Amino acid sequence: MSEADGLVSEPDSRVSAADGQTSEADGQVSEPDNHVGEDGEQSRLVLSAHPLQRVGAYALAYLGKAPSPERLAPDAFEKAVHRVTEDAVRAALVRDTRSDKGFWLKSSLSFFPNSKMNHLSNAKKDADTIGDAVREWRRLPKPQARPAVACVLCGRGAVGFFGKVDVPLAESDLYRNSTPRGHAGMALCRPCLCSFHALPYGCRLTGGPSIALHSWDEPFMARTLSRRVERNRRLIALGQADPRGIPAREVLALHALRHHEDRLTAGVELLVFSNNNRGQTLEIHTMEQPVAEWLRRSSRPPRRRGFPALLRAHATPDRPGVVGLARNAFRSPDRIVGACGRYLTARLDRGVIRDDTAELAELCFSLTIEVMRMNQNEVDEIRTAGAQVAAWLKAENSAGELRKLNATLKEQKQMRHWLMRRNIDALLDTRDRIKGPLVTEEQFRLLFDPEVEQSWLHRQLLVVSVVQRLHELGFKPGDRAEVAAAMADEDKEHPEDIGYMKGEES
Amino acid sequence: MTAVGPFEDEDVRAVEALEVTVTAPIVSFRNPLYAGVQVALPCPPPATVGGMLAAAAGGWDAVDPGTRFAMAFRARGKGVDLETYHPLDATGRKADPTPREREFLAGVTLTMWLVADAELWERRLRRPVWPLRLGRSQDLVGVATRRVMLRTGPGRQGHAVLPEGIAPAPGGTLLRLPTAVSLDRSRTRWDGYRFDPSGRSETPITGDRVNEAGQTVAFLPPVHPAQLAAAVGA
Repeated sequence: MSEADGLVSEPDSRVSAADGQTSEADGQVSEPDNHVGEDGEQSRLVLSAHPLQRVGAYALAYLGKAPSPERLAPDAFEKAVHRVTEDAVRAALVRDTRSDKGFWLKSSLSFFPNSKMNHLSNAKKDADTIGDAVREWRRLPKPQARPAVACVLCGRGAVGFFGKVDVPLAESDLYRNSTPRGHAGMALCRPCLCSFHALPYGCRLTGGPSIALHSWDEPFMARTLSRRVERNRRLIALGQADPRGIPAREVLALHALRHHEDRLTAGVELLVFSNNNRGQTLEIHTMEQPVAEWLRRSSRPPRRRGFPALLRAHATPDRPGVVGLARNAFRSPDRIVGACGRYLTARLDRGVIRDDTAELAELCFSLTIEVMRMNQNEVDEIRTAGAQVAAWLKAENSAGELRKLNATLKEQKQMRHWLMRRNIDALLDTRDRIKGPLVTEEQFRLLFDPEVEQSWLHRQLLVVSVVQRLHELGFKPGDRAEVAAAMADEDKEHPEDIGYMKGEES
Repeated sequence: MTAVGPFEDEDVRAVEALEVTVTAPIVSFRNPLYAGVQVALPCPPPATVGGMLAAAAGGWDAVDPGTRFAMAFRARGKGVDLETYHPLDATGRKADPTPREREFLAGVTLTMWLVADAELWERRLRRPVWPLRLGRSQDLVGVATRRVMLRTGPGRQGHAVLPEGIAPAPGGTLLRLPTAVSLDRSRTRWDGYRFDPSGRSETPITGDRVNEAGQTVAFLPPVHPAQLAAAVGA
């Protein structure tokens, strides 16, 4: 962001915690440069265990042009804090959340309700009064006003006690259930407090509940937050909402994963929260590291060839595949296997094998090994059985037999019977078209033994591997072309899925 | 600790430990980072479990600062209910009670292993100085103890709560949990832990020990408040 575009405000001549200069407005001299302290600790960010503090710290780091919060120099920290304060002042001066430029002010109600930034009385106040009040709210407390206690998040010296007005989801300072009188809640040092003030820059803002993406993977945080802050800075300058609309909240994580180049070392959390006075809310959705890493890799080369099929497998007429995939990834990754299986077998009753079968099947098997931690030997056994069944079906060259197999999918008893019967047929076949049994004893156990915990998954994978192998063998019953042409319209991509594959964030 | 019992022939380094099983019908381990909403953690923080041990001993003064334990935790279900929240108004006026959502875990079993001072802890838990509670002050918990043998070697992750950093990385969620809280509650030491609520991860974990059932036993950092000064560079 350049200064030319008007989004960067230079420190003005008023008193700020950063500059310690004389205020032209009130003629008073502010406290000296006491925020630096003996070792500048009140101007140095530290990442704590609080996800929202971490999001805000990364936002400040990006505003200060540092690669990470710990590397944000004190001077750059002060400039970043100053910018956050001046943005708050500019929003407060809009006064009306319903005006054309009121989105940033409206968002502040979900972060800092009843603060000097958005107080109801601001409508009747002049600009200088509002500006001074907001700056005073954000100003570093004087040394004599600071409590002699440690910051609850990082252990450094606290500059005061802070409640809901400054820290989203903290207890309201109207209540004293967990704190004594005269004690507003969390003891915080200035860097941790400023991180909460900068939190909105790191969130997807909706005007209502905000969405924060968090991970313990620091490079992921740095990259994801830099993109988010960059976009929010534009929106804050304009005072307007994101014109692109709000996708399903889980999709934000998929977009972030798609743009991350390095291997993820931790999972991803989605925090959907509101600090609004009408009711504080917090939902935490967790995507574990294996599925996050699998999704990241699957949407990027060299694996990405199968990803459009994965999206199609999750698409419904009224919902893009990326939404269904993201929800499954957060809630139940094993449903991804089920979606793939249903997609691949959706046309078997008409004897049709989809063209994207091979790519999607490979993604499906990689999911079972990398995410569901299925034993590689067991996967190999299932695939071997699938190849044998496919070879038998190819030799029969019968769409009818394929339909019969498809009809057994929902009833394991029928599938067991079908396999046992065809196993004997294959063994008795004097033409010797299949070498060995269709299904071995060990494979049969993996598929149907009630003691095998994931036998249902094995059966789904068997069908996936059968279809995959048939695709490789070029299995094309007589009426395939006709049926495929009739179904062409069903494969139309959803616009949002096309956008995802192009890397566009919705 | 002497090496005795069924592992004696195969592993001379087997040790005897006290296995403590704590059961409760309903618990709720609130995430202390969010005071305005009641978000529950999927397992008890080590600091909470340490607090229960301190209650049994009669206070932290009676607990060896180096006390360590391993633990596994299992909940049969979870849910959200409404509880009546009674705000204490800062102005001193009477405030209206309000409903507030609270996440909870149901049918829980906490298993702990203590190697040092096993006999002492066995006595303390049989006759605790203070009532034993776990994550919910209105309910007492059931406690049973038994002596078990722990041997070296990898074990099943199952429902173990594991310290971060074990390689290869176990399954489950990476959590930041309070390890120790200072006596005046002004400071908290946070550490990373891995926990799989499903308990389905079969990844062999090389913890400190393994029990007779193949469950890995990984000892957590000390939870005594005295550890806090050394842990946090304040």
